[in-house]
Amino acid sequence: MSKTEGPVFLIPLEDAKTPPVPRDEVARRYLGRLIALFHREKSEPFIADDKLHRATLKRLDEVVAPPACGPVLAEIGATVGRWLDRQPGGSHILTVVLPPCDENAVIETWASEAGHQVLAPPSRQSLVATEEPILPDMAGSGILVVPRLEDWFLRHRDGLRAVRALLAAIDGLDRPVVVGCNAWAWAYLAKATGADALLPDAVTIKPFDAVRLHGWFVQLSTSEATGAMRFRLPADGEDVLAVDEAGTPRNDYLRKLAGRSLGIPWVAWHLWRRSLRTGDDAGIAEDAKAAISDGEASEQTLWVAALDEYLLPGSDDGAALHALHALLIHGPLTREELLLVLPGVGEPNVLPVLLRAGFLERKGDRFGCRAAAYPAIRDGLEAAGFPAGRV
Amino acid sequence: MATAQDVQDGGVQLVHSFQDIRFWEIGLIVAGTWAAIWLVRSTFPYLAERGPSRLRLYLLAAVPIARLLLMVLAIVWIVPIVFNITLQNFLVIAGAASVAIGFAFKDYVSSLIAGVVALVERPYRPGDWVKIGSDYGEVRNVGLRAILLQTPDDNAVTVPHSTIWTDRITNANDGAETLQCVADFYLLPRHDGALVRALLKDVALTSPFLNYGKSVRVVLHEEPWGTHYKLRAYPFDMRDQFAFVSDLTVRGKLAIADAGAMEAVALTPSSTI
Repeated sequence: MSKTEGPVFLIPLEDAKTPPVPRDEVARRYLGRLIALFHREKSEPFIADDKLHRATLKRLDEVVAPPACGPVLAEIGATVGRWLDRQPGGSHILTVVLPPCDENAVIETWASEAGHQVLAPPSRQSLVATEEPILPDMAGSGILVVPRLEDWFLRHRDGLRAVRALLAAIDGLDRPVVVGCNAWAWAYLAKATGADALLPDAVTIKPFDAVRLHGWFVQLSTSEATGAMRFRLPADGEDVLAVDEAGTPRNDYLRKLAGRSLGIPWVAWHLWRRSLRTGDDAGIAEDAKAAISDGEASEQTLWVAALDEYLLPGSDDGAALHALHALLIHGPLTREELLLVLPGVGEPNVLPVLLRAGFLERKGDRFGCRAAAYPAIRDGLEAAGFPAGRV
Repeated sequence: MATAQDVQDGGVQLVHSFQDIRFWEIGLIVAGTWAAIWLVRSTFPYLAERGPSRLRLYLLAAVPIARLLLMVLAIVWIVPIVFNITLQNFLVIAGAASVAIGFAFKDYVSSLIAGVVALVERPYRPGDWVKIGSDYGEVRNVGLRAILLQTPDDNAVTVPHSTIWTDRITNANDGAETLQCVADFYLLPRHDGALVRALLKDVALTSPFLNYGKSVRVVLHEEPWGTHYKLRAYPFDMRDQFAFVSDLTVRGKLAIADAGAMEAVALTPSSTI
């Protein structure tokens, strides 16, 4: 089990660091990218998805149950509690900057569970209206929560009015305010509106390293429904959740997963689910089969496949990169909203391509980046020079 | 003190005897150097275009330096194979070369020397955007004698290095990864300057090409016919500079129209008649 004891708090944004990746994984990753520079064809799928869906959704929901946010809700609660204890004296605004692709809306979920007032954003279309924005009533007592600051603007010449008005209004309130924002939107708003000066001392989640992932995954997979579970590597049958006396995972898999997921719990959760396999003996080494037979008869085994390396199109595919960048800054957008924020003059519609490639997912009429693809998207955008979020 | 006989012997042995010169070795050195230069000139720009953006300028800048080092290495290797190098022979060779260069290849050698100076002083590097004379473009290649500019209209312009002795070189980024772009707007005088200025700043702040690490400025200047606005901002990738300026211009015109301002129109001689 994890060595972590007591409540875990959010950390200052500037202290956020990606968990280290084992050296062999770093070497393998860079070698793969170098080879891809010379060999990858444009028509090649961006994500090798051939091994997906081997474990059924029902089985995955049993052993890696949603939501994907893990202990983050409790950490936000603990941090807000500590912040309130320090009132008055400190800032009346707590800014929580989260990594993107947060499909569980953790700030809003936490606020709803805690019974705090949540400020609903205006519709996206109204953000670009020429009239001055009308803010909802923010009077009252208790904590006011703005769960997603990215919902208050569009990167459009008329799309910054509402967020500026909101920031000014929040600054003038005499009640505690918790503002949530995704890291890419935060980087943009810091430039476009000076949000980092108005809302200083932003905090973010403590990166999920191998130890934290281990504690979370063990907790997820330990229930009456799942029974005794083992997660083994097909190569040698080693249990990836086994720990030594100090509580550190014996195998490198979780360290690789932590590094690959950039320490983001929802990314790690998706990658973990993608890597689980059931049943099929194909590709499983004899040593691994022997490890199963050595285990207890009541144990059930899920096989853990190697993590895929995803690659984005190169810098020559500017339209796709611009679309991905816009979706990271704004969160999910409709096709029409996306067109408003892209430079597009006769640009091809890249959404179907990115959907097929597995970088985007569609919910209703909105398109958003998939959490599992976020590390690859981030790498690709950074390599092409796009301004990136801190986490 | 060298005797006359020594001098005569030295002169005779300025070049090794024909049968002593290992031509196969010279051939291998030349071929190997050519292959290495070809590999560097092919691979580095390829990696620069497809690899991480932050490494692009370093990779491009490494090409002329690597080529110069390889050629110097090859020359240092070949010369002792052909010549009998002594101080006296060196002076003889240098003197003869000076005369030949002075009369026949003055301009060519001037460009070669300027090329070496350019590697040290770096008025331009591969990947830089420079203006030399009336030509503006990206430095695609720094050769021994000249550089190759790729203009926005996709013309290739060869400019000899010796230009640095006489002409002004304007370098827009000077080795940096970005450069300032300026979108110009010309408005008739009757408008709300503060509003237009704020709107134009938002135009830049909402451009998808914007570099967050650099400032955005709107400056204006009163002219007899109206107001000249300059919107200055930086793209995150300087290869996007024209797309960036176009984006600023298109959306800036819309913002100006929204503000109720009118763009100035220059009257041509024919229209005034």
